[in-house]
Amino acid sequence: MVKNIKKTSNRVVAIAWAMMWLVHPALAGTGSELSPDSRAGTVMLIVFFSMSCLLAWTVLNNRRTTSLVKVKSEDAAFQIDALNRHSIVTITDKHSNIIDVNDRQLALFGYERSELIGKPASILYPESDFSVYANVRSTLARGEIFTGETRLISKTGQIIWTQSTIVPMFDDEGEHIKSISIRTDITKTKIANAEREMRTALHLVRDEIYMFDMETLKFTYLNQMAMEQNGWDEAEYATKDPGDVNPEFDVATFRALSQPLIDAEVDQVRYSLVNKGTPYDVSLQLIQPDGARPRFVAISRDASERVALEKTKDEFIATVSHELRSPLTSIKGSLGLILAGTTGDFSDRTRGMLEIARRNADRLILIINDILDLEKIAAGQMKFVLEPTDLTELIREGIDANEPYGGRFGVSFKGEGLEAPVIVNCDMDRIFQVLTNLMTNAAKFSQAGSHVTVALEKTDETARISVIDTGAGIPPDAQARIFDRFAQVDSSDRRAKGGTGLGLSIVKAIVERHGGKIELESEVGVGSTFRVDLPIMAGRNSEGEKGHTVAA
Amino acid sequence: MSDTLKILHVEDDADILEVARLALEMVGGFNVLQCSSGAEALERAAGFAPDLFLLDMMMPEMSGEQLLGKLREDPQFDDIPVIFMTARAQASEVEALKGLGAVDVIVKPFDPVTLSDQINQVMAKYQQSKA
Repeated sequence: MVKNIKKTSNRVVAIAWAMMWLVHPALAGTGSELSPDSRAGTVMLIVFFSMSCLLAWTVLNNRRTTSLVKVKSEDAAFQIDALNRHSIVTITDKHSNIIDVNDRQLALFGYERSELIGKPASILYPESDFSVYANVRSTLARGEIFTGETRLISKTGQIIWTQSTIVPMFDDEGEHIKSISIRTDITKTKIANAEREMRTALHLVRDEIYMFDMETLKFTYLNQMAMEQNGWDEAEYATKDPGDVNPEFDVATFRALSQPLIDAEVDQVRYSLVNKGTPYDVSLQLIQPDGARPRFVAISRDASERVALEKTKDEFIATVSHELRSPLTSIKGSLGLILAGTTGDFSDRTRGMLEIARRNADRLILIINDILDLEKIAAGQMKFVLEPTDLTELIREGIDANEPYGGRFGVSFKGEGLEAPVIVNCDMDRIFQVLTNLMTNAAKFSQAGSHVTVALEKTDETARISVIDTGAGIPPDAQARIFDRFAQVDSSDRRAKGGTGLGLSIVKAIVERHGGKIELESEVGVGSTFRVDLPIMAGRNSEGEKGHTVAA
Repeated sequence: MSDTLKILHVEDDADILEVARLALEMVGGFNVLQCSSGAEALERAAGFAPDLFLLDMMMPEMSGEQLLGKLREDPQFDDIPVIFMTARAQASEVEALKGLGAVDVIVKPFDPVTLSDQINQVMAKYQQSKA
């Protein structure tokens, strides 16, 4: 088939070239000046002739009996004019450099003729489609006709979809000398098809989808759900904007919110809002479809269910808290009163049993408190009151407050790097909770007679609190899960040392909520160091203040 | 005000009432009237003329908060200090309760041995602020 086309093409080319000489020397490469219109017209005439011949040959070759309609010369001119209005025509040499183009191409692609002549045809392809361009070249070089959809690009970067037929021309020796491409602009159809498909899909989505122009904020599209919600039809929404959906929509607020999308800093902005009493979660994106103005896409989901679920969870936590604490109040209270001797004397053996009961009631209370704390942090409901706080002060208070506890294990606390104030923005009570947890842990697992160091270091961006003990250390396999809930090195530790197994996960959650991080370095038999890094407040710590470096 | 502090304690849990009675009477030496509902407290408060209300927060029918509201409407009690007892131990919740006009909030489970000390301290501070 290829061979046949080539052979036939050669015949056609020979006739076409003869015609060209007759009709117009300019196209045969003599270089005389001609108006662009008449040149393109000539090109079209030749193309027509060539294609008619091809068609005739194909028909004959297929042994069909249909005869070709004879085209009168005035009809031919008329048809060429029509074709010229319809098609984009480019003629290239064998190296794919552009020899000529018609006016429609210039108008559509925004070039001057002089800007295209002599340039490689690749100038018409977007960079991402160079593989398509390469495929076209190799198809032509093989002597085959290329047909298919090609994406081209205008001078200003607009994508132009075309349906292309590109025919190679050969000389008498069968050598590829030129190619002519005839293309139809199908951009509008492509966009319409894509939009139709997209709309069909988006109509099925149960979320409300709003698209609106980046500049005017006028709606360009609402899906079925959004139209239903607002009681509009397709004819109505084009005149509306987000202010018609939500009376509290504020243009300035929206502009500030969406600026990072326009600046391409983020590809999505999420926010929550309440519209007429209903909570919504909104995801906002900015898109620029081929050949269209940039627009926002807001996907708005009814968050009533999520909000209700959170409320139920809150209520559940409050109830559990109450229901567990009430019986514990009676248990702990009764045991406390008996042990205080309020109800009369009892034997030492009884006292021992009662102590065990009270100690475990206390443990249960701690566990309940810790679980509630964790739940609150996880649900983002624990309120953090961030204010400038001097960590040196907080560490000193921590050492004072935990001294009695350390004393129970024969362990003392030592502060380092506390000379100059180090200010961080934090919730003082929560960071104190972190300090207390790390210090009591360190004391619990240290040898009697040893000391635990609480060191403060300051860099440009962070304040680092290190709690350093010389205790038993934590084996590497346990280090990995030390911040998990209920993770202790050995569950017998918990009973012996009286922890809940939740402390470190709470510590980690609190530190992370401050935008900080916590790390552990430990060696069995040498000791453990917990390091808490908190972001420092720029400008609050004066230049002269330098944190002390402490060797861990 | 007599030498012995008169406390009206309202709590719907019978066991907690008993523990608290021992703690307040035997450890603290207070004069205590206990009621198991807000309605009962409103009925008996005038006859008892308490120096302090100790109110549980979470009670069926009338919560501690609602009871406080009713007491404040009555000129006899609108100046009597109120301490809430609550099982909701979050710091933010405790602050919210203080905002309702309580002089203090005692978190459950309380320590029966130190409960009376805590109350004495709160009262001393309250009287100082009134003086």
